[in-house]
Amino acid sequence: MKKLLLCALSLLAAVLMIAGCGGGDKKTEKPAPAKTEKSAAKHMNIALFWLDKSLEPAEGWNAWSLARAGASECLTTIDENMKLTPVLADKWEQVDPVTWKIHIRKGVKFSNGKEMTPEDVKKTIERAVGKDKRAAANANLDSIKVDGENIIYKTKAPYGALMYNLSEPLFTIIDTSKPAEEIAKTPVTTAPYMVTSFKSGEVIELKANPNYWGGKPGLDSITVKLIKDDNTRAMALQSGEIDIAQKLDKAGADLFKGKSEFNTLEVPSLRLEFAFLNLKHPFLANANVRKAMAMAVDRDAMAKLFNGEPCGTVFPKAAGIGFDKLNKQTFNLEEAKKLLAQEGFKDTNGDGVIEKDGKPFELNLQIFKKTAIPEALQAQLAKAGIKINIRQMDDTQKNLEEGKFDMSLNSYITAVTGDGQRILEQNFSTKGADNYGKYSNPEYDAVIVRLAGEFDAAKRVELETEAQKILLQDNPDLFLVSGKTIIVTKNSVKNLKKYPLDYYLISKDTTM
Amino acid sequence: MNIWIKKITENKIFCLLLTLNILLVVFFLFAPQFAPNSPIEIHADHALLDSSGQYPLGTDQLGRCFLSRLLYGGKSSLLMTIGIVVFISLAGTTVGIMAALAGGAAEQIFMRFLDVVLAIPSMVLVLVMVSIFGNGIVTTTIAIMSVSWITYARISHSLVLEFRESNFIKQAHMGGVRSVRILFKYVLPNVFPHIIVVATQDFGDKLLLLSSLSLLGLGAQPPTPEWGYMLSEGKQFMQRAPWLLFYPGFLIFIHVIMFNLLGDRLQDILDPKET
Repeated sequence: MKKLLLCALSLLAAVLMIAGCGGGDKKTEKPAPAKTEKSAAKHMNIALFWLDKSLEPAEGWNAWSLARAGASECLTTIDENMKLTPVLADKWEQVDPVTWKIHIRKGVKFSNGKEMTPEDVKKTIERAVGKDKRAAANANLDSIKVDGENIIYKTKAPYGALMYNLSEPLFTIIDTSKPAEEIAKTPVTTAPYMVTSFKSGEVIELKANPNYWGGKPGLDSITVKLIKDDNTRAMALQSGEIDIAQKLDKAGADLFKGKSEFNTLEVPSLRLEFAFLNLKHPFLANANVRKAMAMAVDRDAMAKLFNGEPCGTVFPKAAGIGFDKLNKQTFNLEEAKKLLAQEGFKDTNGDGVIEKDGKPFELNLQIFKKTAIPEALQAQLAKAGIKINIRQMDDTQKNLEEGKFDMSLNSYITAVTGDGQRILEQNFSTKGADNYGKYSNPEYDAVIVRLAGEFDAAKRVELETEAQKILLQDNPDLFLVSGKTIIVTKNSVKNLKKYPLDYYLISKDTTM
Repeated sequence: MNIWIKKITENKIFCLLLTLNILLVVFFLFAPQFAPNSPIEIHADHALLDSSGQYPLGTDQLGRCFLSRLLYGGKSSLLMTIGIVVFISLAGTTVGIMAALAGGAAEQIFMRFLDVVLAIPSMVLVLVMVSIFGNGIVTTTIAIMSVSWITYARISHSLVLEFRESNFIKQAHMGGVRSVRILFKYVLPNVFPHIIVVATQDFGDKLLLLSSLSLLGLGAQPPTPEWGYMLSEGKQFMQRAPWLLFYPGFLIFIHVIMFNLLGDRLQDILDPKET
């Protein structure tokens, strides 16, 4: 009894404490290390929302953390205007449809002082392709040969996306002569900052690369730490523990509004929030049903709740791939209801859920992160008589791969390397590796084949637009909204660029 | 029985607590009637608003009326808790009494088995069950029920053991009274007051357990409002909208405190040592 009372009392105390947190400036006991070092050396503390157990660039998304910390350089990069920009490759030309001649920049040194050679580039790319499925899909590699200052890159098939795809941090050029354990902890790159130590899944310590080829980096050292929870990240910034908080939600960003000590950067994100539909589901196999579902979603309302932009197609507006020319998935509840009725759905028992052949239209929606979207989607589809059960899972990927889902809410950077081919090919073509919903349309596949063989940038966009048009007729997924990447910094932080791709953050010029 | 009723009516504080508790529960069972808005209707333009005429306690992150959600949430939280406590007290007591009356090796084995189950914290057991059978309000309720009745079986079992050896039961047996009659006439009336005390005190415990599971995302599922689940939704916004945590937390607190105080008083009244 006493214990229970204590329990209840401590609950109240906790609630009051939490309530007391509102508004006030928080002070933690731990002094920010930045303050003591600031006068002598420029040290920056950054909190990321994600950091994995290893820094092995050629596995998973580890290299994205390196890129955020300014410790990754590839042959190319995508700048803040989404333009393909040369980095370690200073020029390239296409010899024939499957052969590229890429010139490697001269005079670039790794952070350990060793010269970076075309041989290193060859080894890095081959290593990545051998280690990671995603790398293999992005590289489309047949063979690489070193030819003096160039590399001769042959793709398996005509592959127009190549130079874009080589900007994916998976292909961070590293000194491959180091043993694998060392690469996983302190990879040696040519980037402005070098990793000095790594505490698995927690902290990366970096220091300016003394041998950097592009001039002196703006900072002396950086500490990158993982703070997963949005709210905790905001509090760390309030307390002065960190200088930059990447990716705050709107409620977090609101806390810094109108405060002169902080700057808020809002960048339209290239992340598309969408729902995979499993076309093996008897109801979802029907294209008209999918169309009705796409029309039942009010993307404007959803975007407001999510602090984003309505999207309705594969590529958000910021990607610049046909967005304004397309007849996107749009909200029309009456039409949706009509279409469902036409397909034989009717609420016969008055429970608000429509049925067909005695089976209620009830779907499970798997999610891995709680945002405003799942519940908004649930409420909106409920208006069309479709019942959605939200199922939060730790691992939605496994279910996707095994086809054990009705709907799955995901968040992808669709134009991941500034080019659309990868997502269009892998997610929607019949043999695509990530085509979890098992969508198949020969007409669509033909467009993708043409896209792969097209090298002219403008024509590629045209083909990517055409592909989207077909998708918008067939509605294999529910394309919902795109978010905004909100970065809040102390106002002492300078020259932080607004990259739409959220795997870029710190650049050479960033300083304080 | 009459002595107890007299004792109860004499204890002013108990009467006051009992009235307050009944009012509290009755209010929340009918609270949805007073809700000013729909608890699940989403308003994209009204997210995280402060209190106003339209939304007396403000809105949550999806622009839903928070007062309405609290009122509806109270009903589901309290109904589930009441259901759990009533079921486990009845089921547990019945099983405990039957085990005690059966006697012999079967009783020994059964009760030792229960001891083993009791040795594992109930929260852990419930978590295991929920992760096997999937989360949701129904599975969580069943999981809590299936591990919590054991306490009642233990208590009623030991109470019956006490009576089984007492003289008035032996005399009744010798007098030729049938076992069923002994059970209803002599055993149950002596066991029930104790069980009621335990059940009253257990109410707060179960409400907390249920809320904690919902807080972990294992209990109530969206969009069903439930106090524990509302806490879990609100914790993301604790700085921006502290009311999302304050009100459901406060209501859980009040109910736990009130039922524990009531159980304490009841125990004082029914404690046989004082009679």
